[in-house]
Amino acid sequence: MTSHSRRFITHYLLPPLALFILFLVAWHFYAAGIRFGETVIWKGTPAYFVPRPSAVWEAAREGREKLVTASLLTASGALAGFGASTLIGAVIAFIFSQSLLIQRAAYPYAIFLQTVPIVAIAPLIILWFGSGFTAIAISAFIVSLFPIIANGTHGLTAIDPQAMELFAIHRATRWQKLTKLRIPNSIPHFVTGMRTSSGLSVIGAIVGEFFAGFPGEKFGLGYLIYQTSGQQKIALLFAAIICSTLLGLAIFAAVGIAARLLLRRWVRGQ
Amino acid sequence: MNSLTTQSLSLTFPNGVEALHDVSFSCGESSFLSLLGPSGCGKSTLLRIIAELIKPTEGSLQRPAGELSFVFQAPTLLPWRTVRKNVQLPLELSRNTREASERVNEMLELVGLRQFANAYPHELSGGMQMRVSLARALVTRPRLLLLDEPFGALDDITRQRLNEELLTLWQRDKFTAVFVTHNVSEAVFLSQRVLVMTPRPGRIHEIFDIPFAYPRERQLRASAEFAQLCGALSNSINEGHEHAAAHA
Ligand SMILES: Nc1ncnc2c1ncn2[C@@H]1O[C@H](COP(=O)(O)OP(=O)(O)OP(=O)(O)O)[C@@H](O)[C@H]1O
Ligand SMILES: [Mg+2]
Repeated sequence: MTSHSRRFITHYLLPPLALFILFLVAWHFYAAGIRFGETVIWKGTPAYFVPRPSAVWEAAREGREKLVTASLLTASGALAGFGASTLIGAVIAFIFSQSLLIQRAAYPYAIFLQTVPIVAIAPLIILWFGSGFTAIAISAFIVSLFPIIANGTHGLTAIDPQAMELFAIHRATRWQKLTKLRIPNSIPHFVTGMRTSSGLSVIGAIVGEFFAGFPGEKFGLGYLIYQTSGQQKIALLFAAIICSTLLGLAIFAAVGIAARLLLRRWVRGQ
Repeated sequence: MNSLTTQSLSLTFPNGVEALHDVSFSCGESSFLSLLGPSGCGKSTLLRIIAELIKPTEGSLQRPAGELSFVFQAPTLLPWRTVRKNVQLPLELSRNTREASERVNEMLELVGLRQFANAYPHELSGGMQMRVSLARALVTRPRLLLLDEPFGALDDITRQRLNEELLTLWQRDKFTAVFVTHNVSEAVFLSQRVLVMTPRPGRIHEIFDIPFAYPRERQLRASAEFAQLCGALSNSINEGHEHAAAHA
């Protein structure tokens, strides 16, 4: 094992893993109660209120087919939205970087994407696009667009003034400044935006499914959560929540690893 | 005419700061001139006027024909380019790709970074980054090289070594050099002439001719004449400072 991967395990894997185990133990005793013989220190909580970790595990095993299909469906909606926001966000950031006037005029409306509560406009999305995959992807797209625009615009415009002077002294054309300075400078910023957006896109997809869940046989995590919460299937609900968290984490980690490989040699500490 | 001449350059910034007042000087082809003065006396502003990055409010400027290059205080390397690609940049910008790779290799050889051609800037020390910056400036064979406190952020030993290397490059390529610094001994060691500037507004206070012959060896710094000249220049800077303060 290289010292690099050993460092990765001891610094980045063990601490959160240890905390997770600690959390499971605390959860177990919170739900099951703590007793020493006759003495009751904490009597625990009813299973319909907080299920034990073991019960959640059981429910997950039983409903694994349902959970896997739901996770994959939600993942496809989130990824479609995330992909669209990356592409369209990059185009918008590029337009903003080319004209300060357009940027000044349109930026407040870009912020609108950040501040509008997605639950409030989800019914509109369904009205316009019908329920199903499109509506869910659009919901994921809307919540994950702003970080790409904001970071991308910053990366394309916040250039070291001395680098600009260097290009001016050598009589660089506008095109050369764009391709040899602005765009490369913006890449790490785009990646930062993508990291934030990847997590948000999962939230957007799940919220979208709350309202526009796939009717019929197949449905995503959001709809599963919505459905089980009304049915006293509290252990399955917990399992679905954990699946959504893991899904967000997986997409976030994939973007992080891709970024690390892409930018490895550029920036110290990457 | 291949000399650099400025005539009564003055510059007042829009916010009312008068950065330069009536600056006139001339420096012949292939000469080495330093601008010496305390912080804020308009040295960078003067260089940026010469580079035509900004326009003076008054006065005029004649530049030698041919390429011009600028070395900034920070190395200003592009972090996504290797050392070789950074040095190559000015050739790409002027679409001068003929023999580019030989030219880049030659420059890397000259600054002693041949083995680091494929390294990235963050993998180099501050002194090495500055050498890359020098190589990038000289790759276009400039006739006029402007340097704005290029070694100001380096330790004394590295600074002295780079001063010696810069002189070697200058003697080899015979470009005209205008070197900005606030380090007295650096100005004396490098230059044929030193213009001492005073602040608020920036103007030329006194001109010193430095008589030492080239090539200059590092032992020069230990000589009595060298120390004497440095003393005289320091006095001149302080005098100019008091003079400016009295008029403020
Ligand atoms: N863009 C600007 N707008 C307004 N004032 C400026 C601008 N640039 C510089 N100045 C002012 O002009 C004066 C000269 O600045 P300049 O940078 O040329 O000084 P300098 O001699 O290079 O100083 P240093 O040794 O610190 O680099 C300073 O008082 C500075 O505050
Ligand atoms: Mg300066």
